[in-house]
Amino acid sequence: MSLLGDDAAFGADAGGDDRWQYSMAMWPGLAIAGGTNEILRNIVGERVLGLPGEPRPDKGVPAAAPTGVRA
Amino acid sequence: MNFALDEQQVLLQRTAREWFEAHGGPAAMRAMLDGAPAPDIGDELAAVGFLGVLIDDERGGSALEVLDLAVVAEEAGRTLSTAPLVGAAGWAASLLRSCEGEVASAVLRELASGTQRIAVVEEDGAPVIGAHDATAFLAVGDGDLVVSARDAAEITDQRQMDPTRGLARVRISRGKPLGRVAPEEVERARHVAEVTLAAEDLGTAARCLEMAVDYAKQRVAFGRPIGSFQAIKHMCVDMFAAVEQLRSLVWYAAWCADHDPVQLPVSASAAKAYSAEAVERCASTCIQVHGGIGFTWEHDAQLYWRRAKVDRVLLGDAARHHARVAELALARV
Repeated sequence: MSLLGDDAAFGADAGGDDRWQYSMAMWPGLAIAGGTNEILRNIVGERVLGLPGEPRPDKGVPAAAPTGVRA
Repeated sequence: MNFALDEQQVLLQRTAREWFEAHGGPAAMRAMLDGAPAPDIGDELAAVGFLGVLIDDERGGSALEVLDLAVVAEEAGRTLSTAPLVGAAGWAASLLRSCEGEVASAVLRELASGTQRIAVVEEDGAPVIGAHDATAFLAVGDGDLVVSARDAAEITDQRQMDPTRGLARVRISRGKPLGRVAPEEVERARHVAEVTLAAEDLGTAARCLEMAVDYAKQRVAFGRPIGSFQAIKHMCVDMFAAVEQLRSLVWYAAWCADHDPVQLPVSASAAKAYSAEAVERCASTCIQVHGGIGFTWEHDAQLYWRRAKVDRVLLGDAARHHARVAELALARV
């Protein structure tokens, strides 16, 4: 985007080409889809390196009845 | 293309791991920092065949490829070995192999058998790897490969950060010409050295990761192993990602040395650039994960850090090799 100069301030260049603007808006979403970097780090850390997990007080508890609001 | 090691290479890897763990290890660097001489592993190193990986059968080698040398070098790097794989087994052997003539052939035989320990001197006065133990030096001048006995070289010592590298500045005043060597062979031999160094750093970085993960599982704080905290876990995963990316770059560059000479310059520079940064990051992160104990003289983490800080600048730092990658990539556009 820096290479576009002033066109970087618009949603598309003078000719209507918005590929770079579109990509700038779209790519962060792709980085989140399928697991954020942090979630994937947890997975690799626990599944590949064998590090212990974080405490998970909600584990095994049905989603309809989260911890603390059980009847 | 399948980039996994074959059965023979897996066997070589196992043999090398056991051999390097039994011959020196980080304790050897620690002893050297306390003033002990380098461990005397030359004869055994020749006997196990690691010096002659790239040398043909007739001259006492095992006629393997640069990828095989990379496999051995990774294991050497894990233990911070003093074995002269970069300077002798990789660089000097490649230079000598490219030079025809009886004398070069004889020197190659002496390299494989361990009777000569050979280091390579570059014209620009860069620190020479393995200069401390070298019995002879190789240099290229006006297209000739020249060998010089140790007593014909001017060796200037400086204080060592990592004594296992045996660095010194060397100037050769006179030597014996061994014959012509083509400029592209001189360049290829240097790339082999770069790849071998990157392979050693792969092992060093992988060992840092291993030490950090082991400690993170064992050390308990606030009632939990510290590896369960994301602050620690994510650091370990970033090391893991760096190690695996470096492994791909090293294996590819090593493979190129024998099978795709056109891709060798860019792949060797990519491997060396990335290894410089990866090994440094892994060695520093290893200390960080260990906390206070990692910062002590007694812990091995500092030894790996020393190796990383030295290797990152040897044979060109990351900036130089990144620039080279850019230059080669842009030349194709």
